[in-house]
Amino acid sequence: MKALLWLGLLLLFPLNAATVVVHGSVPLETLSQSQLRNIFTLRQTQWPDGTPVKVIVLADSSPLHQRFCREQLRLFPYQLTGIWDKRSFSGTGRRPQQVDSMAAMLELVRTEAGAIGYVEAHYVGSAVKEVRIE
Amino acid sequence: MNKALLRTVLLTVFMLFSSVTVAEDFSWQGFVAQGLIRADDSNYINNSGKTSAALTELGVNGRYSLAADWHLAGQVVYLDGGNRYPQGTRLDYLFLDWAFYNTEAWQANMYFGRFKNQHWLYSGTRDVPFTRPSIILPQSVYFDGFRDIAVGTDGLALQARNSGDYGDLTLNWSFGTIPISQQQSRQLLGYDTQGKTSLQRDHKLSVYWQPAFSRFSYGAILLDSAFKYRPGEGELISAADFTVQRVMLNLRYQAENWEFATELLQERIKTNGFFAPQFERQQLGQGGYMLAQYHYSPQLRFYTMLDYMVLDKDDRQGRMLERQTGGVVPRWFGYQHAVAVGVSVDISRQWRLHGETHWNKGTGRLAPVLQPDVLTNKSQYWQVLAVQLMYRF
Repeated sequence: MKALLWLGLLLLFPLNAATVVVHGSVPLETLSQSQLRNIFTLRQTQWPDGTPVKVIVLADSSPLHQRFCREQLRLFPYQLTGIWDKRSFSGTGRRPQQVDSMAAMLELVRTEAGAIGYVEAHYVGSAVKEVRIE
Repeated sequence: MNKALLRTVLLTVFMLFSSVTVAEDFSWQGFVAQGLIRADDSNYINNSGKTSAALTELGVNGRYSLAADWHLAGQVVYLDGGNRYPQGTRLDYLFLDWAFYNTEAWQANMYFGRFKNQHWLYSGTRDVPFTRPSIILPQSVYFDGFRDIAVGTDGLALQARNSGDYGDLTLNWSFGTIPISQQQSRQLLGYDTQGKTSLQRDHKLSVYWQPAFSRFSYGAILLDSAFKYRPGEGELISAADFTVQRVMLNLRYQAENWEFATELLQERIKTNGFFAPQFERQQLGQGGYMLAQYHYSPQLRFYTMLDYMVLDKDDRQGRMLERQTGGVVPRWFGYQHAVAVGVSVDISRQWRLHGETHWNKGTGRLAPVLQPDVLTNKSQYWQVLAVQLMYRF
């Protein structure tokens, strides 16, 4: 009975998938899942026009971050943290900037050239550009 | 870092500063870790076998973006590991990173200066406590006595990355050398040696492949390095040439709550000289480890490790070694096997506590290597207990 109740609640209020957003100047409308993973694992560090990619993330404990890792990147959060630690402590990469809220995420993506982040779909406004993941 | 190379790095930095618009883009971070460690019946930490605080690691690193495709990165560390490696402050790395090719499918970077060994699974950050799976890494591959030589190189390195339908491919190549201090030389060859050891060349190549969105990744690594020993004045030891060549394979599987890693190696060590001018020896050692980690929760992790190493694959029990040295070097110096268990607790985002124990059989990975410490390492079986508190900032 309890399980049915939870299922009903989930159907009524489904968990939003993370929507990828970028700064308005980023010259892309779509990204493949592989490209997205390359960006968040710091393998790809520049956009096609040469602008440095600036990755913005929520804390590991954030449910949205966890959903984004699993569903969009197909990685577990601890794997992503491990990759960032390895790159940043060996000097070969810069740790993504962490923010505390979706509002802060949107503000940084809006103002920082080359920024990329993710928010819940209903949070996306006109100030940032939504990127489709194919 | 040798002076010529340091001058080249500094000159290049100066030229970059003066010729490009410098981006105001600097990031830095650091770590502090202190622990207690005890290694009974061995010289691993100290000769007394008493509990020691020689488990200190401090480090600060920074990365400065000079331009979109030029970066300068450096790290300074202070280490105290007792007999494991020389105590003191080190320039861990300082290099220029040139991201010279960047497309959706291909990216390539070139590194100039002193850079970390990026070739083995945990070599790039073996001194950063938060990034290690255990306090003491498996000695078959991450031999502490060889740490200062294996950890980094002064020279040139290249990393190329490609992504496609087949997955992700990463190629690493590095070439260079690294200065070896008298203390490191003694730790490696023998406490009474008076001469100077120099690394003539260090050449490494590795390839990593992760199939598309797979939980598996695979790696293959080649290493070729050459050393020279010049005896001190009046020293009875002869001049020597050493060649170390390694072939390694590794595999990693990462699931939601657990992960598994293994690295296997075969190592050829050629010795010409040292014990006598005409002395020649070639040993083919083998080793490897299996490491399993269970993430009970994001904050709590348990791990266990099996480690295996023989100095000579044709003398796995060390009997030939004992016979050849007239019984002076016991057979257990020909191998070292270990079982370890540990736990890691994240107290907060900044704080972590590690505790572990290792049960060892054999002393083949206790320094020094060529003139082993047979007076202290009298026991075939010895145990390590360690606990370490870490803080990152």
